[in-house]
Amino acid sequence: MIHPLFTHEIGSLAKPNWRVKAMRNRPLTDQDLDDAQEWGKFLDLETEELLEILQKRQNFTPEEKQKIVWYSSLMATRMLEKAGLDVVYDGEQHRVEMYEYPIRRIEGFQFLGHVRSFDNKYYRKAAVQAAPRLKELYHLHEYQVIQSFATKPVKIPMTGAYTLVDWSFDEFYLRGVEIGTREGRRHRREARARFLHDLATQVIHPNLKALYDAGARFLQIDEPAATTKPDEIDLFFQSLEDSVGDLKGKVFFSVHICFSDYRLLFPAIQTVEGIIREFHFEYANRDTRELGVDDRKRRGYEILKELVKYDFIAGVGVLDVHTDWIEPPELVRDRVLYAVEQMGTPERVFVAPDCGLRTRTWKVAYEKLRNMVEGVELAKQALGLS
Amino acid sequence: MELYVTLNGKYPRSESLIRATRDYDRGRIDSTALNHVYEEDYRALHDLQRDWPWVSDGLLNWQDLLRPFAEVIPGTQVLGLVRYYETNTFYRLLSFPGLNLQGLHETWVSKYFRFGNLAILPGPALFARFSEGLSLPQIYTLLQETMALLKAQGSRVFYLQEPELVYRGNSELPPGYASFIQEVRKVIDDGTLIVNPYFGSVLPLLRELLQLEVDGIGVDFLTNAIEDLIEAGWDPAKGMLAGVVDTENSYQEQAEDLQAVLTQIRETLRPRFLVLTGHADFEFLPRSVADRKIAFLQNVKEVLA
Repeated sequence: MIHPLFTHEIGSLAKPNWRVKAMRNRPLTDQDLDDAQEWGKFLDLETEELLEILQKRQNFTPEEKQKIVWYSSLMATRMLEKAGLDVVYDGEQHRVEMYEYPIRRIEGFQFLGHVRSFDNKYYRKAAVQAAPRLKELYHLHEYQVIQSFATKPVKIPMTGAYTLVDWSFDEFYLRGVEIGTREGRRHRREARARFLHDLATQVIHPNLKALYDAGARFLQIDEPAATTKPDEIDLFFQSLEDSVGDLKGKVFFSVHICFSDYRLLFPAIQTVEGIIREFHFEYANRDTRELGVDDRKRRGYEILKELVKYDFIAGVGVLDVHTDWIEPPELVRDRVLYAVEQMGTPERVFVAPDCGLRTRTWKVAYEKLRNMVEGVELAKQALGLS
Repeated sequence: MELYVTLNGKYPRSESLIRATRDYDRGRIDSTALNHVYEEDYRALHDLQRDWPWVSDGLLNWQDLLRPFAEVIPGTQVLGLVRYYETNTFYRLLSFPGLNLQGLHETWVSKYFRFGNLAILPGPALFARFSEGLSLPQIYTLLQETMALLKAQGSRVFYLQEPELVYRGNSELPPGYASFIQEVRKVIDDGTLIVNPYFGSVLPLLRELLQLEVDGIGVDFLTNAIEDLIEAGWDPAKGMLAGVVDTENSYQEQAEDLQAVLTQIRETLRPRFLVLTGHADFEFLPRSVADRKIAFLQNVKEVLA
């Protein structure tokens, strides 16, 4: 399935207004219907059924809502296919987002309120109040739906144990842990390790296993929180091992980390060689927009000099997901060529955006991805691969 | 020994204000409606600190601890996201074109320091970590001038938030730091000055911190142990901003446990004054949980007092 300079996306896309409003019982506007029609046309999809449902404007039945989600999933998947990616997904159209969606499907958690991520962006945060147990396999249906209409291989991203733990409050494992003492510090770490082990083995692994059993062969573990606590890097890698378990070698596992100090992953990263195949990081966010393949112009890709020493494929983010600026293909080409030079071979380089594109419109996301694919083609030509 | 409770760092916005800021960003409400919700939140936060000697506005309208300074220096660029230490909160890197304090005036103060006598500011090391374009001496100047203006506008207590000093285990203060503190000391005159390092052990720096001309030093007791401070030789002449509730977790600390810890601090370390607060910014908690933890600290303080 995989090949040099393989292209994929990283999880999320925006959700169309007609899907968001339908779920929230807010009335749809003419513009929302026009958007659905225009995207359907652009993607060569039959959308009569969808438009008929949307004409109702509000008060959709559960069955109608299910159909609306199905269409948003289909459209998002087709959009990635049309952009030319090698492996596709539906941009989390079945999910709320990457934290709340899984947590609501795990026993033992209670949502408490919002905390800030940055600026005026917040996320709802839960506390673990009992040992976590899986309520339901929460990505299997999504995989089966996407697989039913995808014309390219499907990748399923899944929030990893460490990130779910780090983004949650702990009212269970930390119970009774003292402050202001040396013992307290040690007990805090032990509590964290127990929380991670339980979540990895009782929640993440069963989900991954179910996806494997259903035929999924490319699974992405999202761990944006991986380097949050430098003295827990060993716990992070242990949680990856626990999550993968007996699926080692059976599935292509990619780990996505972003907006982090990647240096902290080394050298402990070697503990998951042979278990994880690809490490995908965000690079474009910290890079210049100048063309060229020298260290200064490609300063965002510095960590590749470290990653090359270990047995992994480098998933390189070449699109900044926090700007509407469309990266020209030539810039993508140079970023890819630089990555190939650092990794020594195109076989050790995969290409993707920095992170999920959920904060961009579909139009911007599509244009960025299309240019990304075009830039990869330019890089292949430069390398004599096409 | 004087005993207080105060906020630490930025305080979380209420769920109403969170909703309002989102609605404003999406064009669903105008600035008048947004400001109305802000005012309600400021009132609630003011009420929470009723009768406290040191009161902060919680920096509710600050996007992060540096962002208001983008308005002080014209031409400052607000760049990409940078993780705020071991949290899931991100700051934006500020890129300054140079030192030009054109925007540092009373209007800026009234916009970003809405009420109270406690001014919570980024320390110079934190400031340097999340910005570019200013040398350390320039950052010292910027912060000195800011504190001078705040003093003139009525601030009496100054917290310099400094996780950067201890997070990486450094054993030396940044060059010129002690001189900067001396200059600030002159600027704020009889004001109270506290350097607040958190997210790390203070031990490697404790000697130097104790020699600074500050009134108090912050200690994050999730990371630091009382027995370590005793062994390292805490100076009772210094006050202590004691981070004794976990602001990264929602569990409710037990009153008896905390009373025991505070009694030990008072009997063994004997700081000149003791301020009870969170181990880091309260902003890492939802508002209702932060309010509950503040009420808890207040109750413990009353029992101890």
